[in-house]
Amino acid sequence: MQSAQGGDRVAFANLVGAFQDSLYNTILRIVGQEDEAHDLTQETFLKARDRLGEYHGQCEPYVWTLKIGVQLSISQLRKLQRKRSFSLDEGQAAGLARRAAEGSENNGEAQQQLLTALGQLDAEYRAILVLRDVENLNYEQVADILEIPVALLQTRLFRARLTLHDGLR
Amino acid sequence: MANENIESQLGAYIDGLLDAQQREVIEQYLDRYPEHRKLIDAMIQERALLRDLPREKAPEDVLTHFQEQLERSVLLEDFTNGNVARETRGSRWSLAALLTLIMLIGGASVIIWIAMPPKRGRQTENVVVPDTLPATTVAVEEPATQPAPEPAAPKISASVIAAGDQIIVMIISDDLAAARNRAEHFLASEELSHSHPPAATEPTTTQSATTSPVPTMEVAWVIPGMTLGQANELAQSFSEQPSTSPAESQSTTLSTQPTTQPEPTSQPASQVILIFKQADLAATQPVESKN
Repeated sequence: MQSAQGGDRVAFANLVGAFQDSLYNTILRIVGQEDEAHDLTQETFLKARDRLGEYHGQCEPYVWTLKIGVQLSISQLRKLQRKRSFSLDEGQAAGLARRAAEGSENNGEAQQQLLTALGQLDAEYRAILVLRDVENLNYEQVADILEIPVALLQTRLFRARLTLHDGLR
Repeated sequence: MANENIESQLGAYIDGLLDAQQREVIEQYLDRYPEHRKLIDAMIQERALLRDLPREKAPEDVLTHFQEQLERSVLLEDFTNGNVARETRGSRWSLAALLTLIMLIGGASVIIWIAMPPKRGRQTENVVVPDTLPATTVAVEEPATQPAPEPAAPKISASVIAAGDQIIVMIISDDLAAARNRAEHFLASEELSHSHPPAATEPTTTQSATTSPVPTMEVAWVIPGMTLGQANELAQSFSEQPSTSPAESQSTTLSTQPTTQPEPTSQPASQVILIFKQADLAATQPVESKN
């Protein structure tokens, strides 16, 4: 990271190579569409490169990069929700469901339903569940990424899980 | 327990983050509310399902596309920065040249004005500017016949020079405070925000290309939103009699004589107001030019 901050483009490209899969997976689970996830992943790296000077070791480099990506994703989702309030869930859930069905034969149906329900959550609840339950980040990391206190995160995490559960019934 | 606290504790219970004692409290709670236990168990299962979601790999072209975008942005950035730097340097040079020109013209105008015989009355001066620079001059005229000696009236002239999107209002006065107050009053009334350095306490004199000393600029404002119309209004305002001093109003006659009246526009641009001290202007002129 220090080399990248010093202007070493190869070092930054190495960071991109190391982070791209996790970052893409997280963004995909939040936005639900491959094309958007692809674009947002690239945008995240470009923004991270522009903001390298703002990184002072306050967290792991991956979490710092992830924070940029998650905020971009939430922002993108909110834009889409404003513009396509009636068609958002269909497309996103269908993409997620298809991938889930391809990924696991045993619990594919359950995952499909899960992803459909996930696609119905609002952007922040989705991000919380993805960061905590899919990416297995700890509370402090998720709270840092979403810029909310840990106590508030815990409450929202529970409510996100409850909303997801309601969506599955 | 407050709802938020219960929710936090239940969340931590689902995540397996409670210590034995806290876990026991939650277990007791769930024993009392079997429907809540059922809910929590379902949430634990759903959490496990989320964890088992297949991990997607980034498309292979993410890295290559990113590198391409990076190269493009770096090239564009270099190009843009280079252009900006060149433009900035160019703008600075042209502004410096324009300011030098203004100072020389202003200085010459004041010299001519001072050198004129008082009995003839001082004619309104027109700032001589290139054809491309429309100028409006508001200058002080003294009465042809001097009445009984009175306190000297402040000498103020104001010119508007427009070149492209640059507008410069040049004010020359032997009473800096009065000029500054009037300009500030005008800016406040027009709600024009302005930034300016305080009047120089230790003025520095810059050298012009002709090696003549250039008069000290006492006050300089940058007025980002000032229009040509407002600049003209400001210049016109110096033709009004100051109300604070009856002596001034009797002894000073101001007239407006535009050489080329620019049409007021609403186009905002980076505008400048400069105020010079008349004494400095006079002092900086070469001796031979007074003849």
